[in-house]
Amino acid sequence: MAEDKIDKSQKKTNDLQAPASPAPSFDFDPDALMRELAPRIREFKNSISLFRENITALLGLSFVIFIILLAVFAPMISPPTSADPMYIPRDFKAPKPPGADGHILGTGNWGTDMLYGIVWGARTSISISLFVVLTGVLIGLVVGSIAGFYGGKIDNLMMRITDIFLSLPALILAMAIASILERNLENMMLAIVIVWWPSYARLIRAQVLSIKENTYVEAARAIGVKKNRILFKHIIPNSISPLIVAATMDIGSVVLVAAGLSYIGFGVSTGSAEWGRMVSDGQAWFLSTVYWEGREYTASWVVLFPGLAILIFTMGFSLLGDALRDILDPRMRR
Amino acid sequence: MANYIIKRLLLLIPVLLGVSIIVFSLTRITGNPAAGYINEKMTPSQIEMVYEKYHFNDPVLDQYGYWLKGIVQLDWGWSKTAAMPVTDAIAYYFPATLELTLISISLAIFVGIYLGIASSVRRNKPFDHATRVISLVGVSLPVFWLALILQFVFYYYFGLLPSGGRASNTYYLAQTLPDITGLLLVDSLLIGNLGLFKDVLWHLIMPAVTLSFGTIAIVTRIMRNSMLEVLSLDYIKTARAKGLNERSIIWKHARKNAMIPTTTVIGLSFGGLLGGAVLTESIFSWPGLGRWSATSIKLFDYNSVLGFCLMVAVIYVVINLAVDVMYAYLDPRVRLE
Amino acid sequence: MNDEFIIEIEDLYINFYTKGGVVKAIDGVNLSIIKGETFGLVGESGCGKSVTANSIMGLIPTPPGKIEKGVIRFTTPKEIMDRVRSGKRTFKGSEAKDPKGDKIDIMKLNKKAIRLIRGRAISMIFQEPMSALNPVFTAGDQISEIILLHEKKELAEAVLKKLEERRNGKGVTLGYNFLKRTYTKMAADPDNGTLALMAKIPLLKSYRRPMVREANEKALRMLRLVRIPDPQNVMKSFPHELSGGMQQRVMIAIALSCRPQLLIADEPTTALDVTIQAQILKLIQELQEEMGTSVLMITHNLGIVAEVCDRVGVMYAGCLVESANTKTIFKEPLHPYTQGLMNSIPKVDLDITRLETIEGNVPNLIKPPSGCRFHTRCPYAMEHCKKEKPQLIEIEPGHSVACHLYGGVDNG
Repeated sequence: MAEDKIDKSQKKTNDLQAPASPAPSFDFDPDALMRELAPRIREFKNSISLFRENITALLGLSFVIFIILLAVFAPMISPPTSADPMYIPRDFKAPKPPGADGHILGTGNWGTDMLYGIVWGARTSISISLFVVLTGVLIGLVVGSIAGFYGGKIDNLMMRITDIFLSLPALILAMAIASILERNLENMMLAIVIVWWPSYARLIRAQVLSIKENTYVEAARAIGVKKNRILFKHIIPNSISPLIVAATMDIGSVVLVAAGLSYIGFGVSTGSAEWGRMVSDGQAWFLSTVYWEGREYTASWVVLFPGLAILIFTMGFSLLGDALRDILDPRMRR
Repeated sequence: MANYIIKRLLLLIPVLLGVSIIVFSLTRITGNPAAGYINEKMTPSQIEMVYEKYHFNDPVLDQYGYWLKGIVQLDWGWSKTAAMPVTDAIAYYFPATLELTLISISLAIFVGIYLGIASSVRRNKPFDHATRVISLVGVSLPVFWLALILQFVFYYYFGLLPSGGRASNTYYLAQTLPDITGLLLVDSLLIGNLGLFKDVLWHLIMPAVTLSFGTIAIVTRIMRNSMLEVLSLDYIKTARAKGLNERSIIWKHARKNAMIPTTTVIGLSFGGLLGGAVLTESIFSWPGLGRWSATSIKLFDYNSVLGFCLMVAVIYVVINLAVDVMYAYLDPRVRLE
Repeated sequence: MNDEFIIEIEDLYINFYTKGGVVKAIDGVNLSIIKGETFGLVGESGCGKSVTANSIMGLIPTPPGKIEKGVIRFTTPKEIMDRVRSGKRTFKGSEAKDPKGDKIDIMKLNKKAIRLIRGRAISMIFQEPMSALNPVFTAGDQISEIILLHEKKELAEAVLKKLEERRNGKGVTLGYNFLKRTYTKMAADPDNGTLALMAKIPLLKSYRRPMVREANEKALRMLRLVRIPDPQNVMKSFPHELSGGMQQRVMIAIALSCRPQLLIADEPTTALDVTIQAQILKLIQELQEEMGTSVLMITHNLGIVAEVCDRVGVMYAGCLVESANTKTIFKEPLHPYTQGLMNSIPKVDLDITRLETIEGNVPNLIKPPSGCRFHTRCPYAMEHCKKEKPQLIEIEPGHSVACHLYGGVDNG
C-alpha cells in the first residue's frame, strides 16, 4: 500500500522534472494501461510471493490470526456469566488441573476458569495495544512531522521534550506515572501512551527530514505547491512505511509492558481477564500441590498458560513486523 | 574528549531538569503530597507543622523550588516502605541491584556478541536458525513469566538452584554476611570465604539469566545483522586477499566494525534491563532497588517510587553518555565535539 | 615459447548458482601472463574480469560460486613451495598430491595452503580504496599486519640481530635469554604452534613486541616506497583521514609489502581523480620494475591499457575473445568486439561528430547466447556462429582470437 504511494509520488516528480515529455494522451488504451500497471502488479505479486516464501512471516501471521480469532469469538468460546466480561467466572475453590470438571485449561486462583481468562485476555490485550499504538502514532505523527517539516525553534523544543521522555526506561516511567494515578485499565493505557509516543515522533521526524531533501519535494516546492500540501501529499505518505513496521512490532511490546505493569499491580483488578494479572494471581498457587479426584498435581498451569499467551501474541506481531519491513522496504531485499 | 564529556554533562542538566519537572508534577497531581508524612495519630497542629516544614502551603512554583533544592541536597523525602529516608534506602538497596545488573549486562554482552558472531558465520545453518528462534523468544518473553518458569525447572523440578535471595538463609541467620563493598561476590572473596562465594554465585545464576535474557536476544540479533553487513564489505575481501585466516577476519576485522552499532543498542537496552530488574528482583526476593520499588508501589509509597525513577533516570543517562564516549573509541570516524 | 609464464589459466569455467538461475560467469577462459609484464584485461562491466582475478586469488565465494573446471598454474617461489609441501593435507582430493617443478595448481590447494600464497605471492588492490581499507585500524596497523603474517621469519631474524647488537653494546638486556630462545624458534619455524599459543596468553604475548616494532619499521619503509609524504603521520592515520590517492597508495603498500610475484590491480584508478590516476599508474609501473613483479591490470579504460600494458586480453560475456600485445591490438584488432571497442574511443585527430557504439546490450549470463556469445551483437554474424563456440586460436605468434571469421569456419 505504502509502496503504491511512493510510486505515485515519484511518478509525479518525474513528470515535473521532464516538462519536455509528450503530453499524456487521454484516449483509453488498455494496453498502455497494462504496460503502466505492469511494474506495480509485478511488485505486488513479488511481495506476496516473498511473504509466502517466508516461513517465519507465515508463522507470525498465523499467531496473530489465532489471537484475533480468540478475541472475536470470545463470547462463543466462553460465554460471560456476569455483566462485566472482564470478571472471570470462578468457584472460589483451589485450582483444578486442566481438563477437570469441564475446565479445559484448569482453574486458577479462587478457581477462576483459565480458558475464559485466556480468551477474554486476548480482547484486553488487543484493545490495550491498539489503543496505545494508534494514539502514540497519532501524537507522534503530528509532533514529528511538525518538528521535522518546520524545523527551527519548534523542532528544537519538541525534540528536547522527547529527549526527556526517552531518558527514562519505558517500563519505569510508566510505573512512575501509573503509580500516582488511580489503578485501573484506562490509566495504565494512558501511562503507556505517555511513554510511547516520543519514539514515534523521533522516527517520523527523521523520515521527514530525509524526505524533505528529495528532489521531488524540491521540485514541488519550485513550482509553488503550498507548504501544507507538500507535507500532506508528499512527505507524510512517503515517511509512513517505517512507522507501520515499528507500530506492528510495538503492538507486541506494548502487551509486554502492560503485562509487566499488571503483574506488579497496576491496571486491572485481581481476578480480571488480563494475562499479566493472571500470572501474578496464579503465582500464589504456583508450584503448590493441589488435589483433584484423589490425585496430586503441581499447579504449574496457573502461570504457564497466560504466559504462553503473552509469548504467542508478542512473537506473532514481532514476526509480522519483520516481514512487513522486508516487504515495505525494497532496499532490504537481496 | 574531556571537553566533549563536560559539554555532554552540561547538556544533561536540561534533560534532568525536565525529568524532575515530570516527577514533581507527578507528586503534585496525586491530591496530597503531604500524605507520606502524616499518620492518623498526629494532632492537627502537628499536621500543620508538617505542612509548614515541607512548604505544602506555598505556591506551586515555590514548591518546585523547595523540592528541587531538596533533591539537589539529597533530601528525597521519607520512604515508608524502607522506614528510612529515600536517599538512605537507595544507598542501602543499591549494591544488590548493582551486582545483579553488572553480572546481567556482562552476560548479555558476552553471550550476545558471541552468539551473534557465531550465528552470522553459520548463516542459514541449523545453529543460526536455533539462535534466531531463541532471540525471537527472548524479546517476546515476559520477564516475570520467564523467572517463574526457570524457578519451576531449576528449583522445583531439578532442585539445582536456590529459588531466591542473595545467599542461603544460614548466612542471614548467623549474620555472617560481610558488608565491605556491598557486592557479595567481591566481599566473600575479600574475607576469603569460598563457600559463601559459591553460595552467592549459585543464587545469582537464575536472576542474572532471567534479567539478561531479553538483552542477550537483542544484542545477538543486532550483532548478527551487523556482522552480516560487515562481512559483505570490501575491506573483508582485502583481509582475505592479505592471506589472513577466517578466524582473524571474523574476530578482528569484522567484529570490531560490527561492534559499533551493537554498542549503541547495548546502551539503549540497559533501560529495559533496569525495568526488568523491578520484576526480576521481586520474584527472586532480591533485596535491591527493584524489589523495594515494587513493594513501594503496592504500599502506595510515592516518595520511594519517584525517588527510584529519578535514580534510574540518572543512571540511564550517564550510561548512555558512557556509551557515546565508547562509540568514539570504537569508531575512529566519529569525532567527539 | 621462450617467455616464462608466472601464471597460466587453462579452460576455466565458473558458475554462480543464484535464485534466478545459474549464471555462467566464466566460460572457458585461457590466458597466461609472462613474468615481469603488465597484462591488461579489458571488457565491459560484468564480463567476468573481476571473477577471473578473484579465481586466481581463490576468492570466489562458494556457494554461490562454483569452479566447474579449469587449471590455474602458478609459478611459485621455492620458499613458499617448501612450506606448501611441508603442510599436511595441502591438496584437495587425491590428484596432484605432489606438484611437479615450481608450478602449482591454485585450484587444488586447500584453504590453508592458499593462504600462504595470498598476500605473499599474489596480491590484490581494489577499485575503491576507501572501502577496501578497514575503517577502524590505522594505515600502519593494516600494513604491518600483512608483514607480521607472512614475514615472521625475516622479522625474527631482524629481531635476533638487533638483540645481539644491543647485548654487545650495552651488556645486559632484560629477558635476553627468553627472547633469544623464542625468536630462534620463530626463525626456524614460523608456523610453530607453541609460539602461536603464546601469542594468545596475556603477559607471555608481550614477546611479540620487538617483532611488531620491526614490522612497523618495515611498514614505514613501505610508505616511503609508495612516495607518501610524511609517512610517520600516515602510519598513525585512519583511512578516512587520508585522501583517495593516499588511500590507494596505502593499499599498494599493503599489496607490495611482501614483494609478491603477481599483483592483481582491479580497476585501481577508477575511483580516483584524473591527475591522481596518472600518479598511481606511474607508481605501480615504477614499483613493478623495481620489484620485478608481474601485474594483471583489470580495467575498462582503454587509455590505461595503451599507457601501461605490455599485452592485453579482451573479455566478452565470460569469454576471452582476443589477446595480443598492446600495439597489435590497437593497430589491427581482429575480433569484431575488439574492433567495436576500439571504434568507441573518441579520437581527437578524426573529424567525427558521433561516437561509435556497439549495438545491443551485454547478454544475460543466465541464458547466454548459443555458440559465440557475441553473435547477437556482431555485425558479421553468420549462421555458424549461433551453433558453435569459436576456440581461441593463435593467428600469428602472440596474437590469438576466438572468432569464426578467422580460420575456425572451415574446420567446423
